Amino acid sequence: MNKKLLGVLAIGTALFGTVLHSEPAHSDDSPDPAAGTRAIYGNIANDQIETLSSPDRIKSAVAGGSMTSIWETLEHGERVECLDCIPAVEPLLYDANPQTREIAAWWLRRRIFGVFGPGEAYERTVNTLKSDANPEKRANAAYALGEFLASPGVDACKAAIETDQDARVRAAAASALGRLNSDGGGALSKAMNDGDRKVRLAGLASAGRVNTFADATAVAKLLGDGDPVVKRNAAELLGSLKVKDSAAALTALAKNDPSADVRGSACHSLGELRASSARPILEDVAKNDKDGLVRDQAAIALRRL
Amino acid sequence: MLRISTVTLVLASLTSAFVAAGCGGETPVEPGIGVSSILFIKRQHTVAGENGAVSVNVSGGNGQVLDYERFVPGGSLNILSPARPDGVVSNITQDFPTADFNGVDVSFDAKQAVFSMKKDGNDHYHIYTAQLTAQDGKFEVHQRTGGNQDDINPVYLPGGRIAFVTNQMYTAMGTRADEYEHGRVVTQLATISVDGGDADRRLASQNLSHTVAPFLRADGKIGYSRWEHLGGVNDVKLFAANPDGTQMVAVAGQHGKPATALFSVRELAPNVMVGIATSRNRTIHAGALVKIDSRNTADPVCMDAAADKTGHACVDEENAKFEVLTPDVPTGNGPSPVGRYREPSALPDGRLLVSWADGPVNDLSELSITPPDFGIYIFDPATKKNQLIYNDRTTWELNALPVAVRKEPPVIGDLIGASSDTTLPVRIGSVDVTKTSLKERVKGAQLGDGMEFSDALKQATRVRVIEGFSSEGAKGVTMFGLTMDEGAAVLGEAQVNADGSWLAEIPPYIPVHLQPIDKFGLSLRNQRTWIQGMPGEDRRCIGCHESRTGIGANRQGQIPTLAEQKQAERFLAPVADRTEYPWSVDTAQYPNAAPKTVVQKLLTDKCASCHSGGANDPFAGRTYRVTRTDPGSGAQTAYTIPYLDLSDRAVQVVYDRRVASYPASYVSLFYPAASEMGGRGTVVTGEKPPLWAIPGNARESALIKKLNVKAPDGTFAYGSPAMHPEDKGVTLTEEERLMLIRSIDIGGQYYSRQNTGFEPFNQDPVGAQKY
Repeated sequence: MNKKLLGVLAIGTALFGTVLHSEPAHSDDSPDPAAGTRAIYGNIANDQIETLSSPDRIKSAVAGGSMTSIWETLEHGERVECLDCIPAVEPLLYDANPQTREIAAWWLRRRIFGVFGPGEAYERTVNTLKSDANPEKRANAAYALGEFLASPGVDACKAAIETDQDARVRAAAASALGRLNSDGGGALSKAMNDGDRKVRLAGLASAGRVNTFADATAVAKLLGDGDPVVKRNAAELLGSLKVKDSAAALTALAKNDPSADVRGSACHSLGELRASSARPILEDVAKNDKDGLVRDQAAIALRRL
Repeated sequence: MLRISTVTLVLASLTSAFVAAGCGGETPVEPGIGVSSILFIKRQHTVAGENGAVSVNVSGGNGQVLDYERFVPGGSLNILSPARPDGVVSNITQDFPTADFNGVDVSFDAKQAVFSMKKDGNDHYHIYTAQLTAQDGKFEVHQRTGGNQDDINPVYLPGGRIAFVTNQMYTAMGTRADEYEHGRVVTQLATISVDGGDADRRLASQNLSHTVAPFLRADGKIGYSRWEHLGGVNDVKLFAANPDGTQMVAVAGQHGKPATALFSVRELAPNVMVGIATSRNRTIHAGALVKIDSRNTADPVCMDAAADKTGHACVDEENAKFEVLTPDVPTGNGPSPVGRYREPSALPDGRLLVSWADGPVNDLSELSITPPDFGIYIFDPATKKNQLIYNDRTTWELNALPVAVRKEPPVIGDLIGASSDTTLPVRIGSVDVTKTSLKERVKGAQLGDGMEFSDALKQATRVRVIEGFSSEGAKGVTMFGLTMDEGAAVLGEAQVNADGSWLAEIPPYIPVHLQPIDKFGLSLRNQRTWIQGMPGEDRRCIGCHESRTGIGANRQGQIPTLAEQKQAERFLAPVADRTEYPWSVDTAQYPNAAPKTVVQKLLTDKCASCHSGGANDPFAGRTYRVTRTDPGSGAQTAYTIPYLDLSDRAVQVVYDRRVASYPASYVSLFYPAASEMGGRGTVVTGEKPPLWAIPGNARESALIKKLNVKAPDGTFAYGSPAMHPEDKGVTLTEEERLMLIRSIDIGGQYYSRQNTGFEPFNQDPVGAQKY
């Protein structure tokens, strides 16, 4: 009975909340939050125009703590120059929710003022990665530097990969280099050689996103990794990078690796490479591999030769 | 007002309660829903972590309708047979217990399913097929795609092909984040064959933002939702393209719609669709059910679902009609009093198979201890009621589809063959650019306080073709300046001939938008939809948004236009040689940058002597200030913005990630418009200047008005013959004036590829090598 009563109260509260929310979404600052954009960009329909947040809305959303409300408000606050909001948003770089961390960095990096100056949010983030005692906070700082997309982050992440004692931080730094579209002057290759699989996986994932990454040797070494997931992803990346020299190693994996995922990815990459030298093995795998998905990949690869 | 709202909500809550009773399985399913089985996917939302902590993942990776990176292990592909609450659920993918799923479709003969699956957290989403009849209790599953990209949202196409969207990289820019650099990789259309999988993989052209949720149309084209971001535009509309990626057309949402996003669409009849209308974000991919009618009502053939529509222009996106079938469900992202819907599909009797969850289904769901519970229901448009089919309270049941034989649309032959030269240019142009159906007014310069766009178009002398590129094209760049516009390069300006025709060849794959321009070089209108072409494709239009009903419009091919007779103008310069307007160069950060032109050089050479605070400066000493007060310490930091300073001196403030490293000219010209767009609440003191430079609108920019423009025929854009700085004894060449006009018209970007040391991606064989 009490539960039912509580349920009714909860519904009532939710409905009352609904009434409150049924007010114009941006009534706290302006009856037409898109008016500014329309004034600049002209005749854009309301259903197409970017709706704008306001400084007060940003601050209240952050204070309210609702994740998706924060996401929306910050995204729609792209053009809101609110210096007072920066101290409120900056702690979100270390929020438990990764998307909140991402959107906070996204908003901060778009600020004209107050973030990238000496002693401001960006520099504080670099320093957090460099010296904070809490490894989780250092890892989040590394992710944030990736989202800031500013070049000083490359050196900071490189240093973290090379010197940080915590694998979470090194993995985060490797991921950040992917966002920064940089191989970190060899740091991604070092990440792939890390003793921790998470760091190696992060390095691989980032290498696939950096359009100038060229250290195929570092990737190829991972074909001998003890972790099948690392091996699988390395095999995939070699195909994407069109590393023809890897055909022999991939062929061996396609035939012999105990992991079906690895064999399948090796077959796929052999197809990507149009590795005609692998035809006999692919024909054998397509016919005889015990795993149906591997046979599928081998058959598709054969059609690409 | 509050009382009315309360009453409305109480009624809504009663409706919700009634539906909830149905959700509990107390209302039996009516017999004969027309199908014996239903295919659907289950997605997990509540998982126990390594430390035993339970986490509810509701909207992570689902924040926007275009997001697809939400991975929670424990999903499955299932078939419910018979299609009623007491039917038997069979797990087709029981061999993949840690998988997650992202879209499914049923083959035309109802014997096979295609789906997107990610086997584990370090895997990617790939395309698989499964036979829908078990053999010895097992369903035969085949993998059709692989590699280190995500392939999602598959649908069957006629002729044994599958369409889906992929984040595979292939352009000269390498990987592509969206233009927002929002941490996600854009998805584009791709196809494979059912039998050949990746061996027959083909990619469509790219957009700066995501393409998602493809659906099959009765004419054999692929319909899809596309995130459109171009300057101030930001929404999700419907488009369609041939299976080979050619002939992209707008379908609905370009001229109004009931929400900012049209999503999860299925066609009910030719150009009549049902889908989800919702906010672009915060609603967990869910929203109101909406019926969309894009038929050309002026042509009776288009209104007859069974008629052969060959040769008829049956899509009229300009006059598309929208009927929200669930009026109690908000089309925004506020909490819903009656739940929200996902992924409708049609049953044979006209009712809709949907996923539905009660509750607010937005950020309030994040705050509750239990996630919204999507189950499978039949929605009856006549009664507006849901009828429970299946609900597992521990998972989301999504993408429900009837397992039924359906008619296979005709196969659209390839305009661009699979083995075609991927470097062939695209032909774009108009038969008569003056033909338009747009009812807008254009103002500024010779157009005064306003002129109908159709009249203004008669003054078009050229058409500017502008390439868009994301920040992937400009290393280290997060935004392209103080505007919302994306990276831009002018591919060329094609001549408009006496008959209104123009024709140009441009590189394939890349997104472009167009601006008809007058004799002064000023844009008459800024097209706000990206268009693309496949290699060798002919993408000519009738006019500048001609009437979709065909009334009063010329037709192609009847008589060669003057532009055709003269041959197409060739705008095919390689990336490094395209016309860009970088404002300045930071040689310390980009030592290899070597732009062909730099806006600041012009300003320094011709303008700064009088507009840099010296004795000749009419605005000397005039500034406005932006002040920051640190709430913690109370310390204030003031930044000073010059009223108008066209020198390259560094402004003594922090500016877009760098200290004192940007020229005052860019700040003083574009900051007034930038702050207008989103600066309410900024603590500004002092006199703000006029909108010197309005992105995309040189015509109304105070700077251009002050400069004035003289056309080759001797007339002046702003009436008076007074020109500046000629009135001060300084002459701007025609090209220098055009540089300023174009820089503003294409969006006022500070950055380009040329001032950021662009490095082409040279490892991919697709077309990019040539361009």
